[in-house]
Amino acid sequence: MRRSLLISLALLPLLLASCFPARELRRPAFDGEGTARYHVLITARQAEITGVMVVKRVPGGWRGSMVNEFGVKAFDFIAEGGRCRLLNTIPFLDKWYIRRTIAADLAFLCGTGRDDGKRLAERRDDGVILLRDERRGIKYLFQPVGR
Amino acid sequence: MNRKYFFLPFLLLLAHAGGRAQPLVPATGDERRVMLEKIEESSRAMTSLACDFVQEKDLSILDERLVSTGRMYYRRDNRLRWEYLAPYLYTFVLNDEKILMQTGMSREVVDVKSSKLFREIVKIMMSSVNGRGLTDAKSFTVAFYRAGAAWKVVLVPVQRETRKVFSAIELTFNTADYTVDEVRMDEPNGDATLIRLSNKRFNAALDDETFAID
Repeated sequence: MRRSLLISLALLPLLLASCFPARELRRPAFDGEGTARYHVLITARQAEITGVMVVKRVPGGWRGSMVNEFGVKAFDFIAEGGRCRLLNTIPFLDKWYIRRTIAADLAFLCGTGRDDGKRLAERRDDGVILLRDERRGIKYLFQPVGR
Repeated sequence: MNRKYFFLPFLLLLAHAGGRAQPLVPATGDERRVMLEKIEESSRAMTSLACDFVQEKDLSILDERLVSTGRMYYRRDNRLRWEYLAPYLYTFVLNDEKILMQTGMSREVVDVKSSKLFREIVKIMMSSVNGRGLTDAKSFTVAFYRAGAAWKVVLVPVQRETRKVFSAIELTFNTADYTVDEVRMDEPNGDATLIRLSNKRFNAALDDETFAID
């Protein structure tokens, strides 16, 4: 009886795992073939930014650009060699702590940044990518769009 | 070598130059006066405008072009609906002092007065549609050009904050009805956005629902 109880307890995590399949994000999160385009929502406390992000795999890393829906550039980024840099940042985002935070989150999604365990991310079956930066309280939603 | 083949590269070059955008010729003082009069006259006569648009954004860092399309509705009483239909859904509505920005993921209403940036955006958008504000020396330095059959007005922002976003805004007016056909927004980093308006319908009745926010 005691032995069968132990076996049951040992199997319980497997049972639970099968009931609630883990949705661990594979990295890089973005589609790696050619260019991927996303309609993006970034939420930070009470502020929201929406726009379109185009991400492209290049030799040695990733490049991307985020513009608002009217085409105005929010920032470009280059992720390679374990880090990510933001370029051409629009003035209201052009603060070192904002650049650093967004760059680290994008590096994480591109698979070039380290995983410090402070980010929760998932990729849904419909291709939507969700990322929550727990330390900074920022949420990202990437919804794939066609050409 | 046959001479015609010797000259072929030059002929091709000329043909290529002919296919490019018309060169800009600065307008004389008289031409500038006529342009302003015609544009203002056309703007005064326009109570509403509905049209389609195609927006092309060149992203130099990726060597990619982002193309989006949608519909635009304008009514003279400070109402504007700018609606992107493909490849993403996004609606921007200006209803006097309020702005609605809506996507499939979010919805936000802001007061135009609350932000200088929004005031500038609205000013640029309304100028792009109705051609007014071309004499607003506080916001832009304005230069007028002839470009073949079309007129071009180049607005260079005066405000430092706006200059960080746009290095210049170029409005192309046709000389048939003196309304805007194209808006080109140049950014300091060299990227540009081109918006082309087509299928224009002037002075059609546009109901309040089109511009509803609440």
